[in-house]
Amino acid sequence: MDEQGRETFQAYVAARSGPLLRTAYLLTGDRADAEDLLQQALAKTWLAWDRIREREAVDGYVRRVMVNTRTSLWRRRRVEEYVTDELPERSDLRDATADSDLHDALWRALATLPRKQRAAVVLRYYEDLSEDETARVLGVSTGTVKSSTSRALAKLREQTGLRDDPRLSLPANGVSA
Amino acid sequence: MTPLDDELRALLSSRADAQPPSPDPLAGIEARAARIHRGRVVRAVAGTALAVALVGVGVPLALDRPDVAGAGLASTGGPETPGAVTPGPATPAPGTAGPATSGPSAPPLADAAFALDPVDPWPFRGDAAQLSALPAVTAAVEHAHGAGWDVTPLWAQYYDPSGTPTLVWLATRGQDARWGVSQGDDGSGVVLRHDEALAPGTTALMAALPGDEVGRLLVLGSPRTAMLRYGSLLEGAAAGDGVGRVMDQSTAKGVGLAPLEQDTADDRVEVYRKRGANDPSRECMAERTPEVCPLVLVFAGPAPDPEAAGGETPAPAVSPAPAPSGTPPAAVPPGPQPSAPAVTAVAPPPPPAGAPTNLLGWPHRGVPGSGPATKDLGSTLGKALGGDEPASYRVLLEGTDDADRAYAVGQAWLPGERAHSFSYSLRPAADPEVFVGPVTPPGTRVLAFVLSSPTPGKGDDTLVVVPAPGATQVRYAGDDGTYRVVGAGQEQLGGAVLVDRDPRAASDRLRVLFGNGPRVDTPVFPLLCGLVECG
Repeated sequence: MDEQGRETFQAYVAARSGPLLRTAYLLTGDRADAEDLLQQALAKTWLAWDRIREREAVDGYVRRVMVNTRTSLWRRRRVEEYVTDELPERSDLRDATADSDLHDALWRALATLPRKQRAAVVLRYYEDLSEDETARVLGVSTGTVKSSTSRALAKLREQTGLRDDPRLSLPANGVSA
Repeated sequence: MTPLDDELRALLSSRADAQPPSPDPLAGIEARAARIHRGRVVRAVAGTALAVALVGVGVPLALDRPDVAGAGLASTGGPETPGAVTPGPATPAPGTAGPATSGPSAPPLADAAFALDPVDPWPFRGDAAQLSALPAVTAAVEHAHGAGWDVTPLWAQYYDPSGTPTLVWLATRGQDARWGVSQGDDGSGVVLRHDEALAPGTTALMAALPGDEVGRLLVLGSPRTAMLRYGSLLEGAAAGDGVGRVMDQSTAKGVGLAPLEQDTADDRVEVYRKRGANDPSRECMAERTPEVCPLVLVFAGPAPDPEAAGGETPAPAVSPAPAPSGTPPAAVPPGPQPSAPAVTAVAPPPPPAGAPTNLLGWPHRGVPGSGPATKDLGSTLGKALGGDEPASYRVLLEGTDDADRAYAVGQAWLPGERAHSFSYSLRPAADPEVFVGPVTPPGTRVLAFVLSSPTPGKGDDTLVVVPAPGATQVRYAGDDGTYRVVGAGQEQLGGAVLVDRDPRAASDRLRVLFGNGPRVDTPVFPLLCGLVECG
């Protein structure tokens, strides 16, 4: 990479690392994992920087690398991470901005989603990407995005007890029976 | 907008906004990129020193879209399988004159000249020292497809990181032709990493192979291939914008190797021939403009799926080792086995209705109840297999090891799908460890899993070996190559064996004897392949 490329990459990281880190955090649910994931994604982007001709598309490229790396790491770490039906008690999930029991329950339920479903939810509801845009990032069809998101929301509803009026239907302990 | 939508947006925003930015976001990126780059290069082309210097050279894209279309590249018109591919006519479509890949002055070199002809195949390329594996490969092909195949080697390499000979072969029997990739050493069992029918007019053989960290893409074209390219279409790019990397051909002309990314949904492979008599110039390799790089596109198509490198497609099959004296190899038929030795084994229940056809008919072994509680195992396995509903499963072995770790080994499957092998273990006050392997291939004789050391970075891992019924002896050789009989004092496991394994082992092997005849003799690492990777 020439000096100009290095400078543009550094400028990009300086400008966009904050938002991308937030996305990485939502994908991983853990700050340290998020920083590691983002660094990995940016390192891969660095390697491809000369081939990325449309700088406007870099965010999408990094997102895609993060999502795929996240899936890959999950598979590779086979013994450290797994999904379970049981909602673990995670005191560290309540941060300084903890909103409510409802949000705590929703956050824990989010952690139980399969990676691709979680990514679809983050891209659709945090990044506000369209279904088509989400499909491109995930590398799947739009129909798959629809079904994944639908299944994810159904699980979140089921696990949090969110129905018509969330504040009425939420169980006292924040987790549905 | 539903309440859940609102709450979800609010939650995600609040949690994300609470994350402060990194104080130095650039720190470590360049060093990590360098590590990734080195790892990709070394692992993709291990075995060739020159490759390290050549692979991974980024080249600006300059392909012209109409040319690619003329070569049969289309998002829906590509090959149906990730392996052998048959592109459409390579002669550029009329009216698509542009850069060198399609100019009307292109010589009338028929693409058929670049196709693999089963009657007159491409000459052998690569490391002839690995041809000693050919009898075992032939045995494996005949084991899979019946007798009478004539197997011709096309290319061979000794893959250093895992000490594994790799052989690309063409098999013919009458009018039938197949090609594939095998891995395994001379005189021992081999694994068929790829095995499929050869389509007429095939100009490029492609396979995703396991690597030590990332999968490897292997592309085999005609020896007269001028250039191989591989890369992804970036977001915003369209089919025909080209792919971004010249593949290393230092192992042999027309043979390309490159590290595979985890997601190759948009990755493509392109094969070029030269337009005139000269090889591509250095300038051509660096800058693909029509003036300096007169090449003609012979093939363009999607890259194979790297997940296949994990052994899922096709499922690897451990073949019997050939007899040492050159006599025909002893077959190891699947199905009923000799009676098992006196072990703790419970005959398997009849398969449930709708069970997959690749369910192993092995007995349950180990002491019932000694394994981990499996209350949520079905749900966990279902999700690990990518499903939304619990998987069905059957435990083949359960027990507790010296580290007080309860473990279970078996097969799991989603409704209507084939069964995968899995392991599940649980230590006190620790999270469960779950590993899902590839689809269990027919004729499987051995399952193996690694339970990592309870103290990361210290102590040995535990290799769990579950052989088919009838195994009379299991031998293990570490990296020093010295075999020893293992399993003494483990009679309660019913023929399964736990072996202390050095976590750094790279070329250790297993030899499982069945009576006095057939045996499985294989490197350990192919047995440890998961859905994505091996080892």
